[in-house]
Amino acid sequence: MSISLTNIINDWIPNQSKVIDFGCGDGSLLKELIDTKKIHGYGVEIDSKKIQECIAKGLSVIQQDIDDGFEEFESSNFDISIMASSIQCLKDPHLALRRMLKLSNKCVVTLPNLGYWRCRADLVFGKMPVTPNLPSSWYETDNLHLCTINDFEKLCEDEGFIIDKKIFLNPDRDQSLLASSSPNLFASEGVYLLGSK
Amino acid sequence: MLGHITYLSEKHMDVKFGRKFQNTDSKVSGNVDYEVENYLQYKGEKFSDSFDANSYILMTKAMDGYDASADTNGNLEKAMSVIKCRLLIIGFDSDWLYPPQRGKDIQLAGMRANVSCTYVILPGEQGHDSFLFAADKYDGIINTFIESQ
Repeated sequence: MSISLTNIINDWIPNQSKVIDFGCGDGSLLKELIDTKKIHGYGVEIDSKKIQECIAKGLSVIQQDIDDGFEEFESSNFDISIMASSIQCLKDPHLALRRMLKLSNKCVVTLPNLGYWRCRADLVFGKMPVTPNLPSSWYETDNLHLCTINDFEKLCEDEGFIIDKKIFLNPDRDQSLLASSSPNLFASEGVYLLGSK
Repeated sequence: MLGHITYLSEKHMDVKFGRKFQNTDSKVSGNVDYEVENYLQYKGEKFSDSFDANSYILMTKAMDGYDASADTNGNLEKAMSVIKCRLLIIGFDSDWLYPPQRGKDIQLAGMRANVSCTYVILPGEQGHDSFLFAADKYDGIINTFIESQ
């Protein structure tokens, strides 16, 4: 059964916490968290059309390029920062994760898995993967730094990020037995709750 | 004249005037050489005919003396903590009269004080006057914000 990201991370977000969502898009996730968890939320987005959609939902949103850094948010006492399906679009994903864990104790990160079997199959047949989680063709994609589940967890280990929780999903956004037991091959998406040492 | 320049942008001034020489027939005085000089001289005279120069001095002093955090020992965050409504802060990227960074400072202080605040930066080539030229984008955001209340 397909699960929304809000349902997946619902238990990870404390009620009435202060949350910042980097690359918040049209603000759907923030809006759901405000409605269900009564969070005090802010979104960060660069696309002006998406910003207008956030404003229409009554959200607080800041127009900013995440790649330019966001150290100025560190004194705002956020409880949780979120980056859903955006980390692979950044110039320096590892620096962004470091910054997120400086401004909040915990961060939620979701990422598409390049190790997913369909991606591997596409590559075996000599073409760039196009899957539900990686829907754009190579010449249209915003993705700069795709990685596998194993790559991401190695980065966390190298950087000293603590993986508090993780959930692996198949393309139907379902926690299937295969995706959970062998995520690097059968999960199309990883959802992580990170902390720092 | 200097004040008037702050309403425009460097790019806009460059496109409009560049280093073009003023046509002799339409010079406002014999002292001007360039089109930009002529324009600013003309605007300056027009302003001085319409307004008392002392009113400008008074207004400038009033603006210089305004400090939103005067009652909170310079702490803007504390000053903003009493705000109960949502804030919408809009800046234009070429505005050097109200630089976007000042808007960002207000947004950051609001965020530290848990005030709901949105910060949008719009493209515009006319400096501070961009809000007149980019009215459709500006109005669109304000309308969306008000309708979402």
